Amino acid sequence: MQFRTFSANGGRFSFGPLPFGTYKVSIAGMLFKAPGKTVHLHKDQQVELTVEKALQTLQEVFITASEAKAMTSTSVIDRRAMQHLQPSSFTDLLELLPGGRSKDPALTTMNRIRLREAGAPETGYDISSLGTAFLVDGAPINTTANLQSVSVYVANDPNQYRNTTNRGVDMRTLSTDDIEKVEIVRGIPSVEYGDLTSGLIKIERKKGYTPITARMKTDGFSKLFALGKGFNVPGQDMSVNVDLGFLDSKSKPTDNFTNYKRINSSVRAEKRWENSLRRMKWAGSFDYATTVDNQRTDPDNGYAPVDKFRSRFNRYVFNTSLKNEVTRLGALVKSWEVNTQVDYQRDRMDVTKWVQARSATVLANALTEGEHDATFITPSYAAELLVDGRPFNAFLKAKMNIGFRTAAITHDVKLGLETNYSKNFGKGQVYDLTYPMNPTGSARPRAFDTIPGMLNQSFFAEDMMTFNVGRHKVSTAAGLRGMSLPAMDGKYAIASKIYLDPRINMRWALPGLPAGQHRLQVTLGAGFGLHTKMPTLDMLYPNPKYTDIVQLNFYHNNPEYRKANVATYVADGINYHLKPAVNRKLEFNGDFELNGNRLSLTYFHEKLTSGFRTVARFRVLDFKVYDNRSVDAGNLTAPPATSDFDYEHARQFFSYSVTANGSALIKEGVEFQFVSRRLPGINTRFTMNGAWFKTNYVNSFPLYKGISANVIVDGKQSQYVGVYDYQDGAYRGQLNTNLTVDSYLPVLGLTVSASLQNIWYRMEQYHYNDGTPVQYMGVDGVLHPYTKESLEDPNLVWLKETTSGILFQKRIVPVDLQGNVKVTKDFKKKAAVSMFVNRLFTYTPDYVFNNTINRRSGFSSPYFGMELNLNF
Amino acid sequence: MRQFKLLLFILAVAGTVFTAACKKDNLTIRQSDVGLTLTPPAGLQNVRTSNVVLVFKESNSGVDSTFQMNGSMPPVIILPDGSYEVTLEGDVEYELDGVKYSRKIRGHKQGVAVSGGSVTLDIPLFLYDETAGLVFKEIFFTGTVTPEGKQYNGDKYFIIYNNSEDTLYADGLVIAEAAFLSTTKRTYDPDVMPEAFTPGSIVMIPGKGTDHPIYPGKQIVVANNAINHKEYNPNSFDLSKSEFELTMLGSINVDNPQVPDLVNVNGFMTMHNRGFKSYIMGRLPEGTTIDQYKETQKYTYSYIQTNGTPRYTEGYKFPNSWIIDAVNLSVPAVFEWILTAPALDMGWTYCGKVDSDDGRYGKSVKRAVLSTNPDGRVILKDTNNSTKDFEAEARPSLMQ
Repeated sequence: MQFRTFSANGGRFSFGPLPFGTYKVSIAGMLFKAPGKTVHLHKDQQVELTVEKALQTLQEVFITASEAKAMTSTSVIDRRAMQHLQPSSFTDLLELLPGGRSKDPALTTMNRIRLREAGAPETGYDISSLGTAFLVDGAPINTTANLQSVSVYVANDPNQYRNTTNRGVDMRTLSTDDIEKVEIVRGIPSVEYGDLTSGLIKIERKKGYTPITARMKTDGFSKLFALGKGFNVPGQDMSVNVDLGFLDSKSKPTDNFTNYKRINSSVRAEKRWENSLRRMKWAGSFDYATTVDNQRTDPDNGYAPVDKFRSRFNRYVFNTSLKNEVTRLGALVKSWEVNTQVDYQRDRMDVTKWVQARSATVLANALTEGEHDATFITPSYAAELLVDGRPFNAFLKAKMNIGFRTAAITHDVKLGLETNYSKNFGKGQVYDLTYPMNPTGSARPRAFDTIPGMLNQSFFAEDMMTFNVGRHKVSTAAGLRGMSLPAMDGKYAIASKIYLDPRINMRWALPGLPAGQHRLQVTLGAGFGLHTKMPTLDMLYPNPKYTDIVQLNFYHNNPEYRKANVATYVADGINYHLKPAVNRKLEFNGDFELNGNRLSLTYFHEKLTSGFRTVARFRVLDFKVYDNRSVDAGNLTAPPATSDFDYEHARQFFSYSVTANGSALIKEGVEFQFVSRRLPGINTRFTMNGAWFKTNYVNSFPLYKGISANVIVDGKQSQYVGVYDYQDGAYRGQLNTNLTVDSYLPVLGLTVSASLQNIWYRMEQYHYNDGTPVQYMGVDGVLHPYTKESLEDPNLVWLKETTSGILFQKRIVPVDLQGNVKVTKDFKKKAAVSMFVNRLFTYTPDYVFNNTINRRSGFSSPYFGMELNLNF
Repeated sequence: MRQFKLLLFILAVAGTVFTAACKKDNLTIRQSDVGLTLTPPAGLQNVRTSNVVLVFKESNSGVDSTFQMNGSMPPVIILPDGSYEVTLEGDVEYELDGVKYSRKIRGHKQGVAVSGGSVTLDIPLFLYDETAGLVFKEIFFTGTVTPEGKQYNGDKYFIIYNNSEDTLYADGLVIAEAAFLSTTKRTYDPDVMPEAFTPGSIVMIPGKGTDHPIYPGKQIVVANNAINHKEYNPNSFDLSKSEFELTMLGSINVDNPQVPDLVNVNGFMTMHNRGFKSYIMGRLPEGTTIDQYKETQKYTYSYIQTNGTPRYTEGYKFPNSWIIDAVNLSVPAVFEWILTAPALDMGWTYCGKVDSDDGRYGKSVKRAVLSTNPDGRVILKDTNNSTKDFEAEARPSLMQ
């Protein structure tokens, strides 16, 4: 007699009641095989069959990113590819994307993601990384309430390159060792996912039984250790996974002054219930991660025993989800799912600096607007600054899938709600106002917990329609997502508005075309959608901007008689007109498959014109200039009062920055990936991927620029502001291909890959401008046209910027080629040793621009490392 | 005896080896003929030079070769190949507007490559006067360091000295810092250096013309901040008795009410504390206002960056004919060029031998003493060659 059953996820199966007797148990499956087992059955019994992967799955082994067969352009990176790549952090995985290239880890600076971009301008285009959403097991890494910054508070900001405020996720904080699979949606994600503009990263972590895995990696910059284990809870359909990781790195192999440490730990549990009507799954996880940036000052550049910088992030994450799948045939509701997450961070930045007055300096530290008498700063002191940030995020998402048919169309409808709440409970910048770290920077402390929290409420609805026309299969996913900030003050333009993201993706699978003895499978696709990203707390509630103007500076030789007076102005720095950034994406895809060889092509055009940028606001401020000579300094018998001095009125321009929707980022390109089947015998696969990108970076606002600080009109600075209407920005482009040849030899336990990464050219071209302002404004606040007469004026002529054609000429940087090699050797599935050498060789010829030779050769040294993986 | 023979043998073999080794290298020193043309200063008539001495200094070896000119006939010059710095000194007689003058004459050229058998050289000549009026006596640009090792800046200063026999006035005197760097030689377009200096920050001593006399042999101190810096840095000194102080950028400005401030003509002067910039002292022509100066002397210059893109900068010219004294500063390890026409200053002086040398703090450049008159008046050396006129890395005179 024969009994059959099907296994659930994770390989669990159950036969139900069987008669006593002797049975032979065997499995049949595409991916796995197991030797049969004989069982004598006389009571309830658990049978374990050890499976191994069936050999024909060789074709499924990818050590590069594979293009998902999804509704939009998506790269999938699985465990094996990660293992072969030997990453230190998530950043390293991006090499596998079309347009990617291996880079040395830079673990002492923030690692930002830039999808589908040819350039990397330093400022103004943070929307690239801010607008890329990272989801871990379905819940976002929300950076909205991150305010951890010390700029302005410290001269020569030690945090400058690590600052993550308004820049999204710092990828160096993400370890890869607990990751099972990463999907990088480059195209148009389902409306289920929002609060993003550029792309979506879906990280799925390991679940279910695994042996103890240990990994040790070392290279010139870092050491990494990771331990992981997955348990099955006996007698229950439940698993628990535990992961631990540690990374210790420094900025340069020879520099011990700057380093970065990361510790991450994770406990994840999953329990499943199943009956004939439904399959339920509960998952819960707790994560703790900490990262520490340390920087001590080189004794050559600072007062070594005192100066130090330390930035520590502690993140606690609780995540739980419940999913119910209805297995009853014909049910309307196919599944529902609720996912919640609470995460809390304790972030501390500690800066200590020996402050030395470079000369007698007036101490301006009034917290209110107005004129204040002031003192002079203490000549030297150890200043301490703490930035205490406690971002808290709560996330709740509920989703329901409904399935039904109308005529020939199968509908798969997704409905859902998502709520995010972000608030920072930190104390902000804490320091003694008498001992500021940056005596000449006009900053004042602010407690983060005085900033209101942000509630971000969204809903989504999508219908995935599938139908067949003959042997053609057409799928269309059309959806709408709405997002709003319901709790905002009505003064903000963004308050209570609902921002809608309609998105549509289509796939048309043609019937296989006969080609020789095989069939050519063609799938064509297209997509269009809007993507909205809300501003962060820092953008909506910026630090108030202080301007301190020294009005009286009477530094008498007798310390008793010294007198200083400061006018302090405060601007709230809020741009009430700030709107979310919206990216419009359009793409076309083609996918061709013949006998296991596959070519995927994507053309995309993305237009984002409302990216966030800080822009300068100029205002004319009035102040007094007290005349020191109006008091007889030589014959004083008592300290003078401020009112004893005569003064003149003065005014000049001062600027402060606000966040505005001024950055346009227009991305266009073609991504391609060709994957051959593994050639039989040597099991070698050829993968060629790459991209042509052309990106237009533009500041879409008129530019206001203050006149050069050199220009002094009647002893006064900043008397004019010029208005320029040119497009400040540049085109950047590149074409690259990465050819990877990899051999997977299971018999020898050897995986070998060589990759030839070539940037065929890089292009840069600045937008033309003749440097002439269209208007100028004097301190009277009146705009005047900038004319020929202005060019004759000895001061106004400074507003004209000199340009020439060569500045706007296209610069083409030719070939930049590098070769990388990676080898992994397995020892009986128990141990694996891997090593890699990046830039084993390079070819970067010199080139000529404007009759000048740009020398590029001879500057690169290889980056190499190795790692050991153990399985117990 | 045997041993002696063996020794001889070894010597003989060694000798062969050595001679063989010598023969491989061609040690003949290549020499080249140097043809000379001297171009007299423009605008002078009936120029007659005499007692002209030429010194060719080979830059790599430091070897000097001196040649005497016979009347106005150039001498026969044959020199080993190399890179030379040529200096020329002599007497000159000339006529200007019908008047006959007897003066000293000089010439200077850097980086002259002598190679290839014969070279012709054109040296423009210029006049100089050892008894100029106001001179920079001392420039203290490095600042001091605190006991904790931090930089301290407010105590930088200039000392201006009256090197003449007459009372001179500081009113309207301009001090300017170079916009270029002596450690980065660039081909600026246009190159105005032969006729003008390109200043960055420019300051001017106030006054109506005779408000601030400087008597012969006396000096004035122009401090960055005229305060007692010992209050802020025990390693610094008291500048509260200075004659003038700069008006610095708002946030770092300190005003001593008992010391008059300089007028900022362009920018704010924060003296380069590694000494990459040169300084000049001069005057605007009689009756020229600051606005008129700015109107007439503004120009745009550019250079090609290493990546091929030009870089444009707006700036001013300060004509050489308005300049009274100039001092080029640089750093020996990174010196590339001087920032003035050689007629103003053909040399340069320094504090710190390498870039960012910690040893430079608390040191200044000080003009050497030429002689002391019977009346006690000190005459400072002013040959328009800072290399010779200045004591580098000197102890600041105001440091107690």
